[in-house]
Amino acid sequence: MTKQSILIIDDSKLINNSLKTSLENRGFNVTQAFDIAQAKAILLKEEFTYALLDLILPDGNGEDLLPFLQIHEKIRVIVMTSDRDRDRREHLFSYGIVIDYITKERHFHDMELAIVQLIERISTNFSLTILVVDDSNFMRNHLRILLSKRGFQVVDAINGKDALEKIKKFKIDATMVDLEMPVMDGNRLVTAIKRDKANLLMPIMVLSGTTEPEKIARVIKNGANDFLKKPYVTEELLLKIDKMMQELKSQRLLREQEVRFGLYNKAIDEAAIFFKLDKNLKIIYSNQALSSILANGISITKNSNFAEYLDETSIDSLKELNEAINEFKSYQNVFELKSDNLKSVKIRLTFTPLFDTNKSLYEIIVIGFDVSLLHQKEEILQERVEMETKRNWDQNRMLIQQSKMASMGEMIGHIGHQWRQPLNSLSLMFQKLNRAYKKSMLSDELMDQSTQKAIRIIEQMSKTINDFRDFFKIDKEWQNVKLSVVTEQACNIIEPALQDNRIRLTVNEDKDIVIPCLKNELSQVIMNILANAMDAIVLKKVKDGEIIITIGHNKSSAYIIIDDNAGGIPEDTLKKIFEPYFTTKEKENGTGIGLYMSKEIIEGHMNGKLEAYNTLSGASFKIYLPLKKENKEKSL
Amino acid sequence: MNKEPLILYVEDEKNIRHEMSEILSLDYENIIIAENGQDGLKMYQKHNPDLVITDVQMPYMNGIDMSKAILEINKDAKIIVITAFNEDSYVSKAKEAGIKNYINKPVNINDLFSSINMILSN
Repeated sequence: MTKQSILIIDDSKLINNSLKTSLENRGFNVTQAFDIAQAKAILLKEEFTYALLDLILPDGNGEDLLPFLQIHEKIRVIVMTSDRDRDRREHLFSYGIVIDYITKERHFHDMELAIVQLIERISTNFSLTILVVDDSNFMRNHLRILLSKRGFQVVDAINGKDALEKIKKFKIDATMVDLEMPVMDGNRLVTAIKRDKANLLMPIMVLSGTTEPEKIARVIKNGANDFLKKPYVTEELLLKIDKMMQELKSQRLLREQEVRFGLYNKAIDEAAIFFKLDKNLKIIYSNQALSSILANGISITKNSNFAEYLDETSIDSLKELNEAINEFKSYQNVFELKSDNLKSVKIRLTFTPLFDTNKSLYEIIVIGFDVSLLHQKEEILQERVEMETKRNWDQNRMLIQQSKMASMGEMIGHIGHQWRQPLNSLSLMFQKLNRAYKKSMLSDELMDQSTQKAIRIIEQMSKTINDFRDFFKIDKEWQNVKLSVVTEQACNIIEPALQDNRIRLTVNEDKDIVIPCLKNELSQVIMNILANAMDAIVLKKVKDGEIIITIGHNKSSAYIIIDDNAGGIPEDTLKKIFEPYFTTKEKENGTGIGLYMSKEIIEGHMNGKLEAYNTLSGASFKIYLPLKKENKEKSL
Repeated sequence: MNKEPLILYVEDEKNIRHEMSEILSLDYENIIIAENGQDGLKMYQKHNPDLVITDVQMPYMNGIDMSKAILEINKDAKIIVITAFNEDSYVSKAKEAGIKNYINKPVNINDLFSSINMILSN
């Protein structure tokens, strides 16, 4: 929309400048003139939407400018005057461009406000059409000009019949009607218009010269809104029209709001639980949603108490609700309602108390949502999480248990290896003594020597037991240990088995790498990897089987690398070796837990890293361990 | 009485070797000892013993391979193989190689001596 332009013609600089600033602030293009000559010069060059005209100017009467202003047909002149002379005012209207008078006030602000309000009113009038019904040509023209200048669209008709046709043809918002007319008079027209319910809101103003009160009363009774006696004062007519149309506008706004309110109501009704309570918490309205939840579709008894439907668990919430309402506050909570199918229903309800102007409560609006399903879903979810957690825990426990069993099996195997020879020796020794005794060949020397030897062997055997017990003991705390010692511990246990399989074990180590660790756990991991290497060498019947352990360190980590020459691990297997239960071995040999637990121990318990690679000749397992414990509470 | 027989005993494990040689010396005077299959074969070639008693699992040529080599030199060579219970595969290998006598670990020396007697009296 282009900016509206205003020409202010006033010799008072104070008024003129003040108006300019004010109108510019409201978005108008403002031009100033301080006398008639200046105004004339401007009007020759420019057109304006509005002119504000002061009547008393230094070089003459403001009225003298009206013929000049008349050249600009579309201009609307607002006259600023403190002159209240009725005839003079009426006279100025006859120029056909004056739309109203603004009385000069002592306070500019009031004057400015009046001007702006008038202009705003006119701009909202453009969408309204007034039907002028009069058999007098003069009257129709007069009203057309007057109303057009006031911003309205104008349609005219010469009698009642013509008017009804125009109403059918055009969208008429208001009608001004004469009473005495040929063909169909004003009274009959008003009756006909109001008979149609679509026109119920249409304001009708009667303009008539009649002095008969009963005629006036009749037409008003038939539906006319206002009456103005001809001849009338233009200013009065304009005032009445403004008032009538303002009423129409607000009535329409109200209707629109009512419709909108109805839609809101409907939307809430369809989307949510919706009911109203009176101040005693009695249900005065409830929608279908509440009924279907509470009573399987049977409607709620009106005036039944809301508390009747509450489950005992929600009694406290009811108290809170009462407190909130007493403090003029709204209240929200989840209420558990009794339902006739025994299942309780959980509803999140928002109570909004409505107060009248005297601050007395007249209604509580309640909107709510059924959250039972949500709660149910939450419960199911919770249950599922618990189940899953338990299952994981069970699985983990099973893994640990199986890992323990596997370790025990391994331990027994290793003890077997360690003990087979000493047991054989002892067995032979006793048989030897027995045979020597029977043959009377048991010398003191043989007896002593054999006893000494037996004691030595048995001591060795019990040392083996101690080693194993230490090895499988659960680490109580972190210890600073030499990696070479930990490695040796593992090697000692597996060595007899390696020897049986003719596998050479070499350990290359940096001297004295001491790290904080869980000693036995690390030892077990090393042994597990050594045992795997051994199994691979045996399985693949590698001649000259060899395992090399390399111990070293870099800036932040110590490492233990265990290489074998069993040909390596197939690439697709390599990805899976750290998964629980993954095994390539025959049922009785592999549990598939060893490497999984090893990774757990190194990465989970000791913040290290366990990785597997293939080298040219075989597999390589690398254990990295931090040189310093990250945790501050380092135990020695 | 026959001439005292010569027995070759082959075993890599020191303690066992020591015990067994002491046991064998209770009944027999002439016992020679080797620590592995390779040495055992050399000693057989050098001394031509009447009986070979050997362990199976040994480094540098195991008991079975050594026995095979001995039987190639002398198909009538008398050999007793001592095997562990879990070495079934060696038993079948021993049978394939033509070794008729074997004794299970842990060794019962009464059984061992009756086997020796039986084999030597044949």
